[in-house]
Parts: sequence; C-alpha cells; structure tokens
Amino acid sequence: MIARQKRFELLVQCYSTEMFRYALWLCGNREIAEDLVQEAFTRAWKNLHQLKDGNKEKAWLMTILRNENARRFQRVQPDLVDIEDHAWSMSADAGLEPEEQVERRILRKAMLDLEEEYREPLIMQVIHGFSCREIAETLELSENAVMTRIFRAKQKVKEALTEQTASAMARL
Amino acid sequence: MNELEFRKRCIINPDDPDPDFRAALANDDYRRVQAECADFDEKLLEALSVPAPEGLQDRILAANRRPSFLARWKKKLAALTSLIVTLVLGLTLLLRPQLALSDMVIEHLYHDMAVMYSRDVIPEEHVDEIVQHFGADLESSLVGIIRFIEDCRFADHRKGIHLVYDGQSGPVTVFYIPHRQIDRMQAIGKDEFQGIIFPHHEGSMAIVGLIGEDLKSQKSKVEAAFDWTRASVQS
Repeated sequence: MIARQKRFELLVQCYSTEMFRYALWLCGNREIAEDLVQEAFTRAWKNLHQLKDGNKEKAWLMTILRNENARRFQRVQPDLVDIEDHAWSMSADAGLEPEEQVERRILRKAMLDLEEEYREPLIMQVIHGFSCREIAETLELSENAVMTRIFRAKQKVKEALTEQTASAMARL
Repeated sequence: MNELEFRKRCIINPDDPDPDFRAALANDDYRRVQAECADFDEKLLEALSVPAPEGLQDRILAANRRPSFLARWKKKLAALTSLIVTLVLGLTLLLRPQLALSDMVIEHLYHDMAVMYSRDVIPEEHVDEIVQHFGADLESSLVGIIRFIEDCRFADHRKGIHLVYDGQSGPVTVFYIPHRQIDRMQAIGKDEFQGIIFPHHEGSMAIVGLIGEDLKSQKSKVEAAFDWTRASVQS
C-alpha cells in the first residue's frame, strides 16, 4: 500500500503539469482542464496495478486523460472559452517584449483553431516530445497519417503566424 | 534526398534521427532550413508551456489519499448498516444448522461464479496482502497466473481465502477455510465442476476445477505454494 502511494505521488509530481498542459490544449478551458487532470489521476490511482511497463507511464496517463475528455463530451459539450480571455495568459507572458507577447497569443489562438485531429498529435509532439511512432501507437493511427497531420498542423499555425503578426504589430 | 522532401521532413521533425536526413544537413542551405524549423518548434513549445494552477499536485494527492467528508459519512453509514446486517445474520445463524463443508464450498463457488472468468492479472503485492493476513506466504509462480484473490466470507459468515488461477483445463479455484477442519480428503462436484477438500494447516483447503482437471497435480502445486512458517495466524 505504501509502495502504491509512493508510486502514485511520483507520477503526480512528474506528470501533473504536463497532463494539465495536454488537457488545456485539448479542451481550451483552464477550469475544465484541471477537472480532467483530477479525474484522470483519480482513475489512475484506482487502476495503478494495471501499469506494468514503467517506461510507458506518460502514454498510459495520456490515454486515461483522453478517455476522460471523450467521456466529458458524451456528458456535455460546453462552449469553449477563448483562452486569451484569461488573466493567467497575461501573467504568464509578463516580462516579455510586446512583440513576443503578440506572437505567443497568435500561436495559442492558431493552436486552438486547429481541428482536434491535427491539434492532438501536434501537442503530443511539441509538449510531450513523443516520436511519430509513439503518437501513432497512442492515437491508433499509422505513422504516415501522424506525419501528415503534424505537417499540416504546423503549416496552418505558421500561416496564421505570418498573416496575423504583421497586422497585430501595426496595431501595437 | 531532394529539397522538397527535406523541407517536408524538417517541418514534421527538425530533429529527425534518420541517417539520410542527418547526412543532408551537411548542406549549408539545408542546415539553415533546419534551424528555422527548430526555432519555430521552440517558439510553439514556449507558447504552449503555460503554468499549471497553483496547488494542483496537492489537490490531486489530497483527493486520492483521504476520503471526502461525504465519503466519510457514507463509510459511517455503511458501518452502521453492516452492524445491523451482522446482528440479523448472527441471529439467523443461531437458528440454522451448520452447512456441510462441501456444500459451503460449492455454494460459495456458485455465488462468486463471475470471478472464475476474470482475465485480470493480480499483482503480487495484493496476493501477499491477502495471504499474509491469514499468516501465510504464497509462492505464486508455483501455481500460475493468479486471476483473483480475496478474503471472502463464506456461508457461515467467517472468512477464508478465495483464489482463482489458470489451471491446465481452465480456471482452478482454491478455498482455504481456516475455521473448519476435516479428517481426510473427500471429493466434491456439481455440474461441470469437480474438486477435493482436504486437511490443510489449521483448517481445510478445497481445490475445484473443470471436469478433466488434474486435481492431484494441482493439489501438489498448491500445497507447495503455501508457506505457513509465519509465526502468528491473524484470522
């Protein structure tokens, strides 16, 4: 029991922030993201005995979180709040040059504007450092499909960055 | 690798470990493209790496360590219900003749039939937790994959070990009943099940499998797997 508790504490310490970021960019709402992470870790605690491979802890937690997110959509489909409306976004970027602040907001907005099938593999690569093969395994897709989705996702985000930066800078 | 192919792969993953991709980086122009793509990924990572809410870890740990206020009240209510049920069952028990051991085994087998078809693999820690409560150790590798183990209450409302593992012809169920003794081995059976009950340690043990299961060999395995050298029996 003590070993189980220690293992769980280690999982929370190592992955709660990453899981929160994953949840946030999946659902686009900070409060819902925190609920998702809480629910995912509660489920992880109950099913900790199923985690056999210590090298797959992160992928295991992400799968639980994805399932929680899917369940949430079965229950209710909330209107997403624009992530840039939140005060945390301003405070997170405090201290940056105005141009950098603008760039980050454009990137975040472009990320949330992506369709989920493009957004999710990109989050997994950028935030979690997963290889295309690992993403393919988690999302149950072919590796080629993952590569295509990441390519298109980055192209879309880049286009948004190029288009919007100039007009935003002009407004500064 | 042509330029188009290089650019595409560079956008997908500027740190692509593929040898052809790494070799192409000897070209200065390609290296510049790679640096731009890596820079873009870095910017994206910085933009997405938002801080987690303060105290998130503590809230997760607290939620999974201590039952909530409501849960604690539910627990108290459950304990009260359990006390009432125990009193009622205790009175009922006084008025009822004791079941034969063989009938008790068959009754419990049918009562918990679903666990026989469990495909869970029970972790060693849980197996140890249950058997050690009865003062034993179990070398589970001697019997096979354990699919279920719990300290079950039998029809006489006293506890014993209920264990299911993969036998040669299907699931094999083992009951250790510490509070009931038997003089010698006896056969039991019902429908597609056959089994044996025999004296074991301070009580009795039952092994039940599907018809065709080699019970003699399972008995040897199970007896070898249980080690009763622990000093105190806490059941």
